[in-house]
Amino acid sequence: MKNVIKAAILAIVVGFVFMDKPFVLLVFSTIAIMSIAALGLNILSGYAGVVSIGHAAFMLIGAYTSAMMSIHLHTPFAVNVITGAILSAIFSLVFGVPALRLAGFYLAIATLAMMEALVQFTYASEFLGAAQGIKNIPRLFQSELAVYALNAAALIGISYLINLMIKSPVGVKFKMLRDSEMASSAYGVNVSVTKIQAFVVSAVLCSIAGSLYAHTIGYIGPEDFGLFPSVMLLAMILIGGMATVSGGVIGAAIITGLPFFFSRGKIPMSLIVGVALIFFVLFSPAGLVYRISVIYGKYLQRPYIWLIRVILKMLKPTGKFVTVNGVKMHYVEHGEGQPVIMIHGNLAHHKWYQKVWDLQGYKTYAIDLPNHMWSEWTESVSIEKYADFVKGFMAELGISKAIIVGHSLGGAVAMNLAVKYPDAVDKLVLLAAGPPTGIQSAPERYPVYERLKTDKNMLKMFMKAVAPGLKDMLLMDKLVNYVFLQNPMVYIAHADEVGKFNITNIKSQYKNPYIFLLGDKDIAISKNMAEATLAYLGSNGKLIMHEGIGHALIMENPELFKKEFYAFANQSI
Amino acid sequence: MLLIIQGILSGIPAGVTYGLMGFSIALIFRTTGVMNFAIGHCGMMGVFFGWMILGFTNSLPLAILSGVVFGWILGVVIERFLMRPINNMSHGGMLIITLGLLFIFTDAAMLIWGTEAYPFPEIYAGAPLIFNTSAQPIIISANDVALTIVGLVLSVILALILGYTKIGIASRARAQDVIGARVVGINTDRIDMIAWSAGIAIAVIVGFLVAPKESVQPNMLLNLLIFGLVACVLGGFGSPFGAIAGGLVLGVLEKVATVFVPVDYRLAIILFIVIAVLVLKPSGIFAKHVKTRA
Repeated sequence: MKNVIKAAILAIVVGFVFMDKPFVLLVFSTIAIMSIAALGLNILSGYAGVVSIGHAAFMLIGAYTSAMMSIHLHTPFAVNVITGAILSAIFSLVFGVPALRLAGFYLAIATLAMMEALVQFTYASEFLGAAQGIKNIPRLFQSELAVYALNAAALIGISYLINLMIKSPVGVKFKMLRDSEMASSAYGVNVSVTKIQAFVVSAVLCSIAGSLYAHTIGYIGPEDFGLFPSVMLLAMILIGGMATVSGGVIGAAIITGLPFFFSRGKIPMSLIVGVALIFFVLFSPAGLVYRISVIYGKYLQRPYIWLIRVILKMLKPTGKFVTVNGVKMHYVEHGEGQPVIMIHGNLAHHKWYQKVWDLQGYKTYAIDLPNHMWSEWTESVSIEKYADFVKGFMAELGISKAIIVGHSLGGAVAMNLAVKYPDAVDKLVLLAAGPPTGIQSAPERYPVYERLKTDKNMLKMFMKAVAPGLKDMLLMDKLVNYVFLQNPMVYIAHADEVGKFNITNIKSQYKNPYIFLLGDKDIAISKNMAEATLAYLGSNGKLIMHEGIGHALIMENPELFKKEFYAFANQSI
Repeated sequence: MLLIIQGILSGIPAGVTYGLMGFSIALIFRTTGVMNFAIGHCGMMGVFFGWMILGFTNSLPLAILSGVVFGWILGVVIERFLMRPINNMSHGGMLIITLGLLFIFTDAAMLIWGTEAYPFPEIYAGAPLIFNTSAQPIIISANDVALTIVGLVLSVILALILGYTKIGIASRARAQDVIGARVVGINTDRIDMIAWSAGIAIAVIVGFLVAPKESVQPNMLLNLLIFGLVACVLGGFGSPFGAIAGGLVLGVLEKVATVFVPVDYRLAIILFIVIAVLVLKPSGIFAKHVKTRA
């Protein structure tokens, strides 16, 4: 819905800017129409993976139906569009049901033959205007602006509906089909029915585009819907981006729009299109949409993130500092009573504990590990060193024994601390802690970690996946912003360290009680991992599973954490 | 009846060109696995080059020879610099690349030689053969006879090359099993290059054969591309000679069809027949068994 509003605003702005330039508006109308057709082909070729090189044929059906009906029967536009769409659907069924049994090249040739047959039929038919085509198709509105508005509205509405369809089970089936017919049929997808669905939907969209084309341009001929327009449609989705809703729009804007703006140039458009087709297949098969998103993620957000850093650095740290092993560590303390040390996880900081640091009868210290937020940076990172830093922190503050709360990576730190210095840990609360054998990151994840440095959107998506229960987006935004204060090295270094981490060679001397809190929606830590931790730490603890909680209990349901904490910490040993 | 005989006789020359076009498509497809949608326009480039040479020298044999050589070199260039680096790409990707080539060649020809349609001499300009029968004379143009002879001779030569020479046998081996072919010492890259070159050279010859009718212009072989594909469909993509047979059937069908249906609709009707054939028997009407390429 957000994208619909954005697109509508863009369309309105374009409309107002070029209000008194009818020709430019006509260009934009054509782009919108071709975008609808390209979207149709994208459903078939991009999503369902069936290449057609004759899809302009369905535009022909829509355009001619619309033109004939409005000239001879004087029916209103809506009736024309619907009739054209129904005819296209019938034709696509008649052609598609048998033809979609063919695979690859054979199907491509069948679509080519179908398109050529229709074009030749039109050429031969006197009542369809033959080679001269149909002229003087009634325009819908006198004003070019109104025509443009209709086309833009049609594009936005159809894109919205198609977006819904793509996200529905039907759309998922299309993608399964593209990736592997055999696998999808093994999953119970009816391959032929699904292909037919994609084919009919794409035919109907092309037909609608054809109807709009006829009424917008006012003149149609068979050559408007032949081989070249069909290949142009293919080029549009390829250049814009296969299997994206916006790809067709970008492709249509480039291929339909450029000739108008470069019409004085010497180099013909189809030469550019031909080179672009080969270029994109060879070097960028994912299309421009993907390129743009990569550039946006990698580079365009940098100034914004730089600004976030500068602004946040101007803020004063809210807590106190203490120098541990030559590194200034930041912490905030709340309440009075038995000391509780709270260690945050990866891509986090002390503020992750802000909802739970007021604990009745306890003095909580929420720390920033070195390299995070206000704490100073270190040369290298290791979980063991972090554990030493926490021990040093306790020594500096004169805490000999504390309850340690560790979340995720901080959980691994807490566990390490408990194993190495069992006397310093009174009780241990592990929140979705990393297992004693570490977690190996798949190599293909590293580019993602690299992207997190410069891509706030991705970091936010990451956080949303980690903490599905955190609905307060303002708080989420704040938490994400503070992450950018951390040492840029640790995005990768932590993943490396968590992969290398293994403390099973040290026998656990930890005898005090502990609990392990885990949500059943956690995507980072599985129940098996938690059980491995329990097996390692010994029998003096228990695993408590929570329903509907992700990786971040302290953010998603702080009251539940407090309840568990009190129940655990208040009981006497 | 006579009309049908006339249709068959005038369908054969057309069928020969369709068949040769299908042959060149099938040759490249069978050997390298690439469906070349740009084949017609590759041939067109050769014809234009030959036409240019004809303008300089006024010698038809020299023009045809230089056009064919040009087509051969074009095949080498396309295979070496475009197709070989990407020979592990998906069929869809290859198809789109050849469509891109089609666009590039169309516009390259327009840029170099303009959009005009230039006339081209017939290979044999003689008086048409006329058979007087009781009802109506049967007319066959001399050029069509020459064209048929050239086409059939070329087919026989190609059959001999494919069937009995070392290169022909190697190309069939490459088509059947690329790894096996390499194991027995066949340079498959070279075979691919020869298939591309030979395919485009044949397309150039087809271009010269139809140039008197279609004139020399950038889209002169576009219809022949479609008919060539159709011939392949009828004959089966697996066998180049099936394509020639398919082309002959198509040519005869096209001309005979005019006896029964309005001449303007014949193409549409034939294409619908083709779709039916494609759907009912994807391996082609002459193929013995279904064999698909991986």
